[in-house]
Amino acid sequence: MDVIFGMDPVWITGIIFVLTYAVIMTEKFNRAVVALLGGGFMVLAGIHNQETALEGIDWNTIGLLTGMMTIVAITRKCGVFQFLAIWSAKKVKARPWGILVMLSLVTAVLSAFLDNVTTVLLIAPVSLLITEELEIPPYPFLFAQILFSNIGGTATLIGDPPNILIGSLVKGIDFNGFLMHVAPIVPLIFLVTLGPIYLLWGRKMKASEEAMQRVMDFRELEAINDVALLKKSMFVLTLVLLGFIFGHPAGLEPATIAMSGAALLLFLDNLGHSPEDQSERVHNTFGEVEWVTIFFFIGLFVVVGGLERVGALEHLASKVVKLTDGAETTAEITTILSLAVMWVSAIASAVVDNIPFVATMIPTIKTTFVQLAASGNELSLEQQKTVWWSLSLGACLGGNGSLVGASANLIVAGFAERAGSPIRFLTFLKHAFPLMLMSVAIATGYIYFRYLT
Amino acid sequence: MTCAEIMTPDPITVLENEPLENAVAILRDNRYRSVPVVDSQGKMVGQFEIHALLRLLVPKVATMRFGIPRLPFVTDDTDDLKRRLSDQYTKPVKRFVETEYIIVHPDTPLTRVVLGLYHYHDNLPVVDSESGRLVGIVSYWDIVERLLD
Repeated sequence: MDVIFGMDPVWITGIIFVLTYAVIMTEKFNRAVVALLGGGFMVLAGIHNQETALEGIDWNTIGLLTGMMTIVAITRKCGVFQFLAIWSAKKVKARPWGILVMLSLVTAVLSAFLDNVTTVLLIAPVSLLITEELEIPPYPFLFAQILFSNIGGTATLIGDPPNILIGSLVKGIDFNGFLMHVAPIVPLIFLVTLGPIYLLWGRKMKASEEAMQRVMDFRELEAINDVALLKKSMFVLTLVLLGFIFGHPAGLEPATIAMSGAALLLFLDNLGHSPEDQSERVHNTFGEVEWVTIFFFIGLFVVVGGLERVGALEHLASKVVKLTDGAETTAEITTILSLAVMWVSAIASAVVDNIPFVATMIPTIKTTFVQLAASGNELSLEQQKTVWWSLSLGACLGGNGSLVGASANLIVAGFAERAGSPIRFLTFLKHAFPLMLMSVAIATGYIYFRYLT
Repeated sequence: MTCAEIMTPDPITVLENEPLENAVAILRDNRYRSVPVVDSQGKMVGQFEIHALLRLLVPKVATMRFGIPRLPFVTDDTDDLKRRLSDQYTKPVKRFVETEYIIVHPDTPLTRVVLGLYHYHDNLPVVDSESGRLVGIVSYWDIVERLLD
């Protein structure tokens, strides 16, 4: 390795890494730009060459994200998500607390299968509309949607970026793994989280009969403006979902499934349009893919790849291994690792974006397993998976700890601000942090009693 | 030729603390699309545009970025429109002014005035460069009149 100025590679990598993450945390600059600059410095400083930099990028994650974003960009045009939100509000006779519960449920279920940011972009506007018509404050609704987008996203491999990363980077973990091992606890967390929201706001919510009638007068079927597109989208979404459930165990990677689905839906959506028309439509669809997120991932992968390359993660991993010094059996080691990983991830993900955190944790935990094995304490595959489930639960649920914990939180805050009812950082923290701790406590109990006893 | 030669001096204005209702009445009485809003010294504060009124008549999400632009499922009648406006009617008009608009000065050359009208699609306030006070207004009709002279 030919490092710039003959400096120690571990040091220079560490400096680039810390600087990159520190600047991302300040949120003064676009995070994708900062991550790409960090990645660029890794190559220019001689830590990476272009080839090794590209090897660090997990194309499975990138393909899965891009594919799903493309599918959603087309599907949302047909208006089905707005239909769903309004239909569910009318099912509870437009009573405010009923609507909050229904929209929370819709948010949780949608974010299990769609990106969280996309979900809140679809549901938050409907909530604003409904609360305005009901003449009640939107905050409890938006607050609940932030929480439940992160809670719902925890349930599946494609629901939340930390899970996408774990599913892509860890061998032996697939779509069904999340369904069987992480998803089962999500409904309980959902229900328990609703409790405090009811006590804080729900029991006092009141709207006039007249206001509720206005919501009941909504003609939700009008929201669906393209029935043909609705059918095509639902067809492709079903295929993709089946692909994840049956294809992944059979060796089809998530990126293959998502990108093939995206290509198929692009094809169906453009069928019958002139070539010029198609160019414009395809251009617009790709324009809706969140490239900031995609490039953020790419930059982070290069930066973290640099850490791996110089062996910096070995140091970090050996610190983690030290934690388990007192343990005598691999079962005890698994317990310590799982609980430590879950709580550290939860607290860290509340403070920093959980994507860069998990991107660093995954190779660190992998190295920890290798070091443990080298010292005669090899964890079984099942024991390793328990640690991965803990990382997923900690990082995803931790995103609820503060307004900066996850991208979806900031998106909703931006909405609220534009609508004239801003969500304050400290107010949100006061309400959300205790609820986050509660959800992680439930997750801890679940992991402990299901896998560690 | 400069702006001063074609502008209408001493235009109709609204004081910034007058209620929204007054500004709306001026638009209606004169069939204006916008009216300049000034402070007690006659300095320009902003333009009250008919679009600001229309925006108040629909749910907020309809006019927000990433909102629901078409609202296909909402069915309003005039009572709904009046209800949305009723809370706002007594608020000072300065809350609803547009602050991004094109101004011209008495000595602005004619071409710049025409281009200003072309881009702004409405009357341009003529502001004294030194005092910031509104001294006149120039409309596309002022230009058309000159052409037909």
